[in-house]
Amino acid sequence: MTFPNIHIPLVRAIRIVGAGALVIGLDIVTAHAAGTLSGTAIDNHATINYKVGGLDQTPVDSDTASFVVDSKIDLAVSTSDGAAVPVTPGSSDQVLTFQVTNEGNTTRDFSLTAPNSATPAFAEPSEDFDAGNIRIFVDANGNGTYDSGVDLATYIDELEPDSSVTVFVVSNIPLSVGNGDVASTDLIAQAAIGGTPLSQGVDVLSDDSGSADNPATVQTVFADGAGSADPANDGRHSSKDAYKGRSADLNVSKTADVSFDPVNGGTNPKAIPGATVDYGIQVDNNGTVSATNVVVVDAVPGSTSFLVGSTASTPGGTTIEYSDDGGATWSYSPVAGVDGSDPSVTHLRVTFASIANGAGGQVDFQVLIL
Amino acid sequence: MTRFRTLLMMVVLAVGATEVLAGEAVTLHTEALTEVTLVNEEGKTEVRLVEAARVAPGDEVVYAIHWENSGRKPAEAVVITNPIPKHMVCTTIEEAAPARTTVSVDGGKSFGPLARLTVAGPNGTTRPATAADCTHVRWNFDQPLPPGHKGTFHFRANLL
Repeated sequence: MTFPNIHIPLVRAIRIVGAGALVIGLDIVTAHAAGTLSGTAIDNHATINYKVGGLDQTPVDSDTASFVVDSKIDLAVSTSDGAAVPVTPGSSDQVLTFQVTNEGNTTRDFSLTAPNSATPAFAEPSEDFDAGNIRIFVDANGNGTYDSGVDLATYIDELEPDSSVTVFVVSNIPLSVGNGDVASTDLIAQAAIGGTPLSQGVDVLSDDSGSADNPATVQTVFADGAGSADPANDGRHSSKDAYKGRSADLNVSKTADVSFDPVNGGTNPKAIPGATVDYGIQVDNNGTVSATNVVVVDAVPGSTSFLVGSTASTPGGTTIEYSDDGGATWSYSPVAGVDGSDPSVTHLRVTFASIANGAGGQVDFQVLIL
Repeated sequence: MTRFRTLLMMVVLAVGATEVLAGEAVTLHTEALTEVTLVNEEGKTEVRLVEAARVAPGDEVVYAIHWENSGRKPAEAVVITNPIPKHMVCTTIEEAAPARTTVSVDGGKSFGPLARLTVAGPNGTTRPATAADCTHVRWNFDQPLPPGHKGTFHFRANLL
């Protein structure tokens, strides 16, 4: 019998107390969809119990097999706009709304870019224009709505695993945009190093797949899917959204019918001097929004004279003004002569207060052939 | 007083067993491994187990438990118990002769064959236990382990 032979079982006996406590206490592990946090040490050990010659021997603990959880870089960008966002030509600060989710197991920063896209979103038939002055802001107060002057951050700071944040792409729409024109934009989020609040971390442009494995250090592994503008496993993800121009589309048509002549009366009247001609001006809005203050100017044809009181218009709220100076001023009030007409009227100006999309406006007036 | 008695018993046990224990031991060594697919010298694709170094959530780890009776006497009633590591969910447990494999789904209070165990489901119901429910893996040797015998058991688990 030597001293070490007595000593070793004692040391082992002490270690077993610790192992026993682990067996009894069932550890509750918080489940993350994004997985175990990076840097967590995963330890395994086993214990062997046995007898020799019928005598219980001191249980033997194995060594501990250990590794630390590596950082899985995974993220998802999606848009909550179900269709292209309708915008009015010439409007400013039009908003596309996205969500960025950290699906990795490490708190990270994300840098953001929003290039114009060459291909349209939402299966729109074509890509027609580029949005102007594209800016990106992170929703500061979590209300899901862009608040100018409040949502100012241009990168995502310290997004925890399994957490999402709303990101707004804010642009101006050129005045030249036509009804139905589409401008698409990809929001690209790039994983960056986190850990320092209020400081934008460096982009993680490559993972550690090219370097030797080390069980003792946290290494990075790209695990992201392909986005609308980036391939899988590149530390990025992206989603496409679009603006769609929404404007009125006006068509004007004019009809002329002779309704009376001094020889035939109302029966097959002919365009002879003294005859009455009915003019009809129809304005149709084939666009997607109503048009307001639609102004139509029409000249009274030569050799005719405007019949005072002959105007009629729909819808209500339509104003008719007259000019006796070729359209320079619009304050003339027609005065009926002996034949009921006023040859001084050179132009009519019709202002429709509003023509709804899909609807039309109509104005009728009569002239006398001189 | 209790503490003193425990200590005393240990000393007695240690002294009493000294004759048998001198140089007698079973040894246990565990490894955390991952499968890697590589092309070998002959140009063929080969799956190898290497030390688990790059493990991210969702990845599978193969745990190897190497045992050996390095003593001079047979080891009797040998039982190897391995708690499933925290943050890992067991996927496969190797049935390994000459041992019987049992598991615990209640934190090590009781052990049995997986096929016979149940766990509580919602609303007071029970359902058959699966590998994912395991909290411990245990291998029981029904026959004494002769000196010099050794082997390796495996179980596989995924990182949550």
